[in-house]
Amino acid sequence: MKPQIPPPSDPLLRLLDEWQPRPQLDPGFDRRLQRRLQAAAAAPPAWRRWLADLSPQLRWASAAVTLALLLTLGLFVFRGAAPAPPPAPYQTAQVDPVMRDLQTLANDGDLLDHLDFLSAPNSRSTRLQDRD
Amino acid sequence: MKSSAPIRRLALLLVLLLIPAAAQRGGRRAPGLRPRAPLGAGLQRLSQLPPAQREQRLRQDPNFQRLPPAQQQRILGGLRRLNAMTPQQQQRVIRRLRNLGRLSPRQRAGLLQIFRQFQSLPPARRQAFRAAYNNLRQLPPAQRALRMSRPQFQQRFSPAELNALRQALDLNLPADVVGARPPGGP
Repeated sequence: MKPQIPPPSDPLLRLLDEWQPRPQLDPGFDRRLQRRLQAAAAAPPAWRRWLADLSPQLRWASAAVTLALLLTLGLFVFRGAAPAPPPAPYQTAQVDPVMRDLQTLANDGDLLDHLDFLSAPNSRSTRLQDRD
Repeated sequence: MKSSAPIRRLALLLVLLLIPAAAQRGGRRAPGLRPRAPLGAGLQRLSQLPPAQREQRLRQDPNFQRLPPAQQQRILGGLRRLNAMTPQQQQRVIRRLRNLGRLSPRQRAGLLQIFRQFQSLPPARRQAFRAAYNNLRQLPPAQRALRMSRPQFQQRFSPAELNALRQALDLNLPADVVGARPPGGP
């Protein structure tokens, strides 16, 4: 449905053409506006006003908690950012039980063969000889 | 109201101390802290295979393939040593590996050091060392120190032997691991 456009001779259109807006502003409007803008600019931020409302003890407490949270966050970030060392071949061999055991056998085979090297001598005479 | 201030400060201090500690606890676990199979468990598994298959299985293992050639050779050397043993000898080695695994790193390193010194002694000195070790380990520490300080005792050993003896006793090795007489035993 197409809207009907009134002809230019329409009294309503003529009246609208002649109408000029004449805002009647309060003479003190600008002054009050400026004062409020200056006050808003000079006011401390919300968090400072919130802190100012707290008791001194609570103020310190909140500062300490914030510091602790920052430290914790820093710790997490630091630990997370530190690259994990790539598994060295030697570590792999240590972790794999078969290879670790074979390596121990190769390196400390003599000790394993003689693990009882400190065992008590069978000869009683040797034992008695050592006693004071 | 004022009396609660110290409590608040204390609570605050606790928060400060506990939060980082909790964060650290929740962090990643160090790879070294992973529970590992005890020493000897790997050889026990390997010994169940026929000797001909052991090397083949080892060479197919990706962990083995990743190792540098020198380390591969060392491991193969260990395998050849195992393959050369009778089944009874293999079981003895496995048992001894388990015993070795029961020692702390300090005890293990100390035992190896004492063993090397012991090997360098002539047979007669080895016997004297072993006898003194077994007699002294049965004594309480104070009595042991008293006996070792006596000139008659010190005359029988060189300073190096005395030092090795002290080190061996300080390791407090489990008697069943090294086959020694238990303290207070007959």
